[in-house]
Amino acid sequence: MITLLARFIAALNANSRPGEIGAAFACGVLLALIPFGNLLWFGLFIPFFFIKLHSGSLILTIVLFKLFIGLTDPLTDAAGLWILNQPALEPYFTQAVNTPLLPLTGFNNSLVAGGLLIGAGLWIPLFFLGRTAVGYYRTGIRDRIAASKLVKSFEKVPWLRKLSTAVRKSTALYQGWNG
Amino acid sequence: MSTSKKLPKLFRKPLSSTQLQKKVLKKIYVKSEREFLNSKLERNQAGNYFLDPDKFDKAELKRLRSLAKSIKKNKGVLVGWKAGLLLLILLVILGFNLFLKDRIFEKTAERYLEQVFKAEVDLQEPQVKLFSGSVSFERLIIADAQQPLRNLAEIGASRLSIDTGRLLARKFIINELTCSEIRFHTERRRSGALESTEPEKKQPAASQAGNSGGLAEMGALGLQIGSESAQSLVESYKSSLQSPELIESVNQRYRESRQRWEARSATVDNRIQSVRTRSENVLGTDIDSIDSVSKARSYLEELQGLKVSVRSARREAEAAYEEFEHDTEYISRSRESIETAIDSDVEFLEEAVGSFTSDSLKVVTETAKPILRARFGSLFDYGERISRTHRQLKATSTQKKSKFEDGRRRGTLVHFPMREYPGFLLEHFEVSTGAAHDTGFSEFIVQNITGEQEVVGKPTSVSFSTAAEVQRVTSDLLIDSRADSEYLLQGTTDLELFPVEIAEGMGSISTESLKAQSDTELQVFIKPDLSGKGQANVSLYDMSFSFQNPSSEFERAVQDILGGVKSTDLNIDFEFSDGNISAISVESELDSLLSERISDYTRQRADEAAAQMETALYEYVDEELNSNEALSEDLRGLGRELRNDIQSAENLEQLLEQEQQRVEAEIRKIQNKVKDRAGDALQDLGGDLDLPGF
Repeated sequence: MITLLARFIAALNANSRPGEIGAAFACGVLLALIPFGNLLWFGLFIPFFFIKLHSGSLILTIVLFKLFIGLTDPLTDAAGLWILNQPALEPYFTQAVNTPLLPLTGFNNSLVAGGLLIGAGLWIPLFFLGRTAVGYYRTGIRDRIAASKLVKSFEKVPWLRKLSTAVRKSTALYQGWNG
Repeated sequence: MSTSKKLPKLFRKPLSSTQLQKKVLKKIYVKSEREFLNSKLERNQAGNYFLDPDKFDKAELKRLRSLAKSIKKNKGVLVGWKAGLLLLILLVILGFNLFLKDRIFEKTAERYLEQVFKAEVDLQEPQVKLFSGSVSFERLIIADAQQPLRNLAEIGASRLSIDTGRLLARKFIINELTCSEIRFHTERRRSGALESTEPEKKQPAASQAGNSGGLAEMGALGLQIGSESAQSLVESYKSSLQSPELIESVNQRYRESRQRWEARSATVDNRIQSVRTRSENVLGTDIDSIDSVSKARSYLEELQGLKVSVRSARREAEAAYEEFEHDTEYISRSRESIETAIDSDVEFLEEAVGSFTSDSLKVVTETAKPILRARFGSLFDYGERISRTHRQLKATSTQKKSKFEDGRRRGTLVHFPMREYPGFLLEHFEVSTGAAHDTGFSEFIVQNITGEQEVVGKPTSVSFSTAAEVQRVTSDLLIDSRADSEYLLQGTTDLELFPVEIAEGMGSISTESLKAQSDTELQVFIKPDLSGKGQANVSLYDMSFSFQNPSSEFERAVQDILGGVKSTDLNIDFEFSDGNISAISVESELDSLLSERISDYTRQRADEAAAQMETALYEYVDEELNSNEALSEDLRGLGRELRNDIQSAENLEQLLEQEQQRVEAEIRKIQNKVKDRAGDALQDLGGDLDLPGF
């Protein structure tokens, strides 16, 4: 977990594309919204593996959002039921249910369908939000955080020192830590 | 030169302003790094940017290398090595599919079949589609090992297609299984003998252990495992069945009963036989021989005694029978319980069929273990160890799955109509022999073979056609075992150009035999209770009758008529139940033609007879009329005489009447006279006696 966090912080501070982190964030939210353990989840995850996403950010986002994603379930469930009960789409869903392998995607589960719907709908806004946030962090916040007394004092905490070491190992670019 | 090598490749050559902007600066997203690079950049005379390695210390050079690495990393959307790996996998799959798959199949199949048939095998244009689950070829030629210049068999375009998607749901759906234009013992242009056949013959033992023995050995091993596994499987299911044990226990009870009742029955039978013998003896006594009262009494007593014995024997037999009935009451109950047990066993087996694959695999594995261990030694142990590890990993991953599974996130399942599939379905099966559009071509097609027609929603159809030189037979059957179907079997059969010869049952029309060509269309409809109906339309043509010697004019006439008939249609309707024809009616043109012609003939004959009769009648009538006239005249004379007599009688009557009247009057007169005289006499008497009133 520490390494994962370190990789995320390193990515924030390193010369990595903000778009990669933004996309990882959007994809992570999408994968967190869709319940795990079905073919659709893996069907989305595997292509992400081939795209230049920051994998650390992706996994961290999934893990973090999974902790709280249950709170959005009523909304996801409603969205899923709405899309699954659309009369115009019923023939397609019926065909999908009768097509080999497709039932394994669990698309007829309201959380899966709702998660995909909301996740896909939010993907572009989240991508731009993530990208902007990274850019803003790099230009506006990072130096101030690095120079803050709080961070300096955190440096003395053993596990945080371990974290900073991990970050340094991950990237040699950021020169702000440890002065 | 040595220092220039230390610079990252990206910065070794001078870059134009545009190149620098596009290739380098645009891909640096950290301000401090951009500033670091800008501080180190220099311009040459041409205005291009370059880095001087001498102006970098060790730390800066390291930083520059990291920067160059990150710039390279920031290029593109796809991860290079991952995309390359994926591309390589796709290329391998594509290449395998395009160039190797069919060839591998062709070579493997040919080699295997050559080992089986010991002769050359040629498989042409094979096509294997792994994902759609189909295998097909255009032609398969198997040479005859005994006659190398002949083919054992030649098979035309054939195809096997399985629904691979449904296999995942343990449904075995064969979309198509066709094997067309099968021909046997056809000619070959070149020898089909295998080159390696001779050495194999010389060294059979070596070949068994060597090259050709591999597949055969594996086949034998498979057979051994299969046979032993099948036995184990049957044993495993047998132990789960109720009915065999129940039947065995009931049979045991039957045996005991039979033993007990055999003895009892013999006893009763002996008693009855003894009484019967005594009765026969007693009743054989001649009653005339009884000549005294004492003898008679003795005979009577004997009879009474015998009667008592017979009654006693009867009672004994009745009691035994009653007891037997009571004792064997369980038989009917046992049968019911056996039937119930069999029903539940059948249900169990039907359920077991669903899990048959997994069960059979399990049993096969268990049975195969010792055999494989003996054959493969340590290799099998390694394999088993790997398998065990895999199972453990699988189990662990299944356990871990719950950790990652969104256990609390259930959601709502929205159900959509799912098409049901049967456990087994052969949608299309087709076999044909001979060459198409040629004589001797036969075709057999079956569609929708399944044990679950209700699920498939279609009946099983069977179609068969064959063509000889001129004859042709076509048959279509529909077998529908669905609950709502009216007919279990519907069939239509057409026979074209079939010669017919009927030699029996034609005596009534003074005909020995009938030869003709025929076209027949037969339709049969059979209900689930095996009753049904049918219709046959038979067209006879080129009809040729062979007649008996006519014994009457009528027969001659019938022969004349039939001799002129060259074709006719017969319409036969029949009904049947329990396999027997219960009603049949035959209608034909021949009937109406015969009846019409016979009607004409009889009318003509009748007219002739009528004319003859008229003439004879007139002849007869003339003579008779004359005699009649004479008689009439005689009679008239007699009449007249009678009338005369009557008249005379009338006259006499009148006379007699008159005379009667006269006599009567005279009588009255005399009477009055007598009366008067009597009165007088009385008066006189009264006066004499001096009676009052006188």
